[in-house]
Amino acid sequence: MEVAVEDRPVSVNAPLVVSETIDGEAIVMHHGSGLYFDIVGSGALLWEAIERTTTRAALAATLVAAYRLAPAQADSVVRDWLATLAEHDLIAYGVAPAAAAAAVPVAVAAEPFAAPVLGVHADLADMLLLDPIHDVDEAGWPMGRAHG
Amino acid sequence: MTGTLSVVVACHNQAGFVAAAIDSILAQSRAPDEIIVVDDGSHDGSAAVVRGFGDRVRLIVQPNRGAAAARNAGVAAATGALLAFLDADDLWPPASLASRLDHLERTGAALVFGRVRQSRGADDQGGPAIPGRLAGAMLIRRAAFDRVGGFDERYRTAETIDWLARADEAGIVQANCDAVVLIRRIHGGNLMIRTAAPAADSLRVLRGAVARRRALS
Repeated sequence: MEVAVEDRPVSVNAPLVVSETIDGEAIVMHHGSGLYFDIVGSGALLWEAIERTTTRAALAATLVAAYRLAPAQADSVVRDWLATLAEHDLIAYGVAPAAAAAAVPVAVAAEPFAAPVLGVHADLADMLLLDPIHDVDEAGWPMGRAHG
Repeated sequence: MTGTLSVVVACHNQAGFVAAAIDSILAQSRAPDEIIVVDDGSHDGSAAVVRGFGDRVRLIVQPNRGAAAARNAGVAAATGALLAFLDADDLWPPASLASRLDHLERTGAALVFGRVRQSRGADDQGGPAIPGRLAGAMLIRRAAFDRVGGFDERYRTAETIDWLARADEAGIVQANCDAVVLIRRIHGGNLMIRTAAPAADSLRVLRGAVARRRALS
């Protein structure tokens, strides 16, 4: 049975992409392109949901809950946002129905709604593309086991 | 003449590699004026290997605090007007320092990088020579290093990315020479790439870079 697009699971494009969201700001790094990204506001809220794996429908519901958007507007914002993230290869879609798509309770946002913006940074790409191989030797840095 | 040159080698549990690293420094066509090895709490006999080089190498031994702290300790002890760094498991081709120094003098830059090859063993000539802004491929004027400040010791990994982000933000004039100046040795234990811990440090470094930029704008 084909799964409707809005119900397909959407998640972070791991392991190429790693991210962390702290205090409403997501920092996202793409190991393939060397680009890194910052996301705040509504975008960070949506990204946190994507980090847990979600669906387009659940993301739209998140915006409705947090910002009291009309469902049609929320759906449109989510479509645009997912397209932006996909353009940078930051997300991956599954094919099976998303079991983890249950909406997470969302508090009403303190700030008025503003469309998500993806901050794109290329200045450290050359370094991020070089694997930190020396830094992860289990016998060497970052910390010898005897000291760990 | 640009001035005296100090090399700082940070070493943690690299007894099997550090001698070759030091040999590669001693074989430089432009010899450095000073070689400082900081043994960062090794428990595999690395310090004894370094002592075998006698007074050609100055050894500093400290408890394990990470690569950033080891390099900072080396810089604090260094007397040169120029600084270069080499990880204890890497190598420099013989003209590494000379190529970078020549480029530094010709361009007037404060900091010069060269190209890097990654090698998986003695028979491996290495992959393509890629531009690499790595500590081991860098030659920097001491005054410029001091303007940026030391490596941030909060980071166990990604400390060089953080340092270079700060160098960029400080407006340190950088140049790149085409010569291969660093052979990165990929060996048995160091292939665990992109594990959670390095990714977490990288993300912290990037978060810091974004925050500093936001504060300036």
